[in-house]
Amino acid sequence: MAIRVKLDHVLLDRRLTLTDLAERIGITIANLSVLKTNKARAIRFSTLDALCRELQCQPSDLLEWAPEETGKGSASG
Amino acid sequence: MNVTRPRSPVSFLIILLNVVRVAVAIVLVVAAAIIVLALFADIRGLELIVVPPSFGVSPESHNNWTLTIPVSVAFDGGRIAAPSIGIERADLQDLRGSLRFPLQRGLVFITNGLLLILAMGVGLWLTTQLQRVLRTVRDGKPFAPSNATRVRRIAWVLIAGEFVRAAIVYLENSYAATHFTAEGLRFTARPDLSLAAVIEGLIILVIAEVFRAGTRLDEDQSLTV
Repeated sequence: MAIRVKLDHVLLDRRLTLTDLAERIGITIANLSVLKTNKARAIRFSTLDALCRELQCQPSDLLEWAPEETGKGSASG
Repeated sequence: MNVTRPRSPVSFLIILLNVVRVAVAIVLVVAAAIIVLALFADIRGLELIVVPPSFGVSPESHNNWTLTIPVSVAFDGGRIAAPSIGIERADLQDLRGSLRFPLQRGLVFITNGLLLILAMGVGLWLTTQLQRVLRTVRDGKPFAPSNATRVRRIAWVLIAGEFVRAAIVYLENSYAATHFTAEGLRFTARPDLSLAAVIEGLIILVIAEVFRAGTRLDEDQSLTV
């Protein structure tokens, strides 16, 4: 999928672990791990809201669009 | 997500299918053993009770094996009428029944024996597949990826099975028509394809597609954070 989750970068910046974040926002580590490893197919607004609130960031800090490398176009962003 | 209640009929069906599977397996093994044995030894004294829908071997009271095959007959006997209600002539149509006759060892016996074993084998496979589907339902995972495949296979086997059954019935009818005579009756060979059975199979195919869609939705749901 062309949407990538940058949760690991944000966690690194905030010096937080996935376990800490899971406890603070009340989402299981398994679910956060799915998000972090880019296996998620969808993210609820409520989850995004909790993440942004706890990490003090914008959705754009957590998500990025990166074109898949199968095409001949160059990657951007 | 657990979709079944503790006293759900699914649990009961699983137990019932277990019993059916064991029974079919026992009959399968016993039938196979006796049919193989019958090729080499005189086992007329042995009693075997196997009554599948359309063919089989059953014991006679005088210890003589009989074979039962499906037949289709036309009634050529006396006039049928109901004078009390003013009907002078009526016709008997679509007469079907079973013809039981003393078994003669040979190709017919072997063929029927093999068909019996095949029918039991297919029955065993079907009940096993159905039981696996029911187990996933009981465990709260009705949309396990394998279920759509299982249900689709069940549907195709039922549809193909109906065509095979119809062909076997036609061949058995032809056998009776070729070799048997009866006063007032004429043995005929007619196709006996049950459209209802084929439609049931097609409906199960649709259900398989529903399972496939459900599996996709379930995967989406499980990967939504």
